[in-house]
Amino acid sequence: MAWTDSRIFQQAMLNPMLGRLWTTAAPTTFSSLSADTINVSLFNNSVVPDRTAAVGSTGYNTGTWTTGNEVTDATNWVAGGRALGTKTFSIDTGSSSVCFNAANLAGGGTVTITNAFGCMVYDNTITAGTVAKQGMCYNYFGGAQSVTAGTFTILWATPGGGAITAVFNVTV
Amino acid sequence: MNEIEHVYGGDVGDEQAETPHLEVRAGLAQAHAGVPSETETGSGQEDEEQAHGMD
Repeated sequence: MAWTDSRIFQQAMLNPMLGRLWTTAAPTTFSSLSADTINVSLFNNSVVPDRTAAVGSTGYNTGTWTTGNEVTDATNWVAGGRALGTKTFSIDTGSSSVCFNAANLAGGGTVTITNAFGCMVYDNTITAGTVAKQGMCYNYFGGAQSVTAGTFTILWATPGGGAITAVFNVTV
Repeated sequence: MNEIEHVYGGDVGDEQAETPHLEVRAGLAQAHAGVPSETETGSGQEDEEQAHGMD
């Protein structure tokens, strides 16, 4: 089944996220979501997002997240995606959740993007251990999104009752 | 001398198409800490795949 929703990968939650609470060895070269380069790649509707995927299938260009299913612009949203900026990690009291947030993400300039259905957010600093370029989550755009020679900007969602946006969050 | 009002590199007076702008609202990737007990009422955000005890 193609895109239906947005999820955190179970394996990402296991390690590196909650793995820091245990004796689990962190992924190779992982430091933190703050220090690491976190990229966002766009994908078409041929992907089959699965939050329960085996860890080896959750990395960029693994499993269903292959470059063959990636949507790019040759100049301003190239393969591999664009890096998140202004990342934060904080509690949003309105939604009672811990939010990983970042600035809304735009292309490097005007782009031609065709049928982008969603994105995968992955840690481009991780090289091994779990899986290289390990995915943290995937976010659905609600349908096909296209623009020709224009600007393309991802606006992160606001959790219900929340006051800030989030790439992903954990309600507590 | 005519004033150049819009500098796009074309001839003076040429109309320039507006650049399209697309802003896409991403869905929220969300997890829930804690597992509600069998007697706990739903919060409206429970995972519909969550299993409940039988008998």
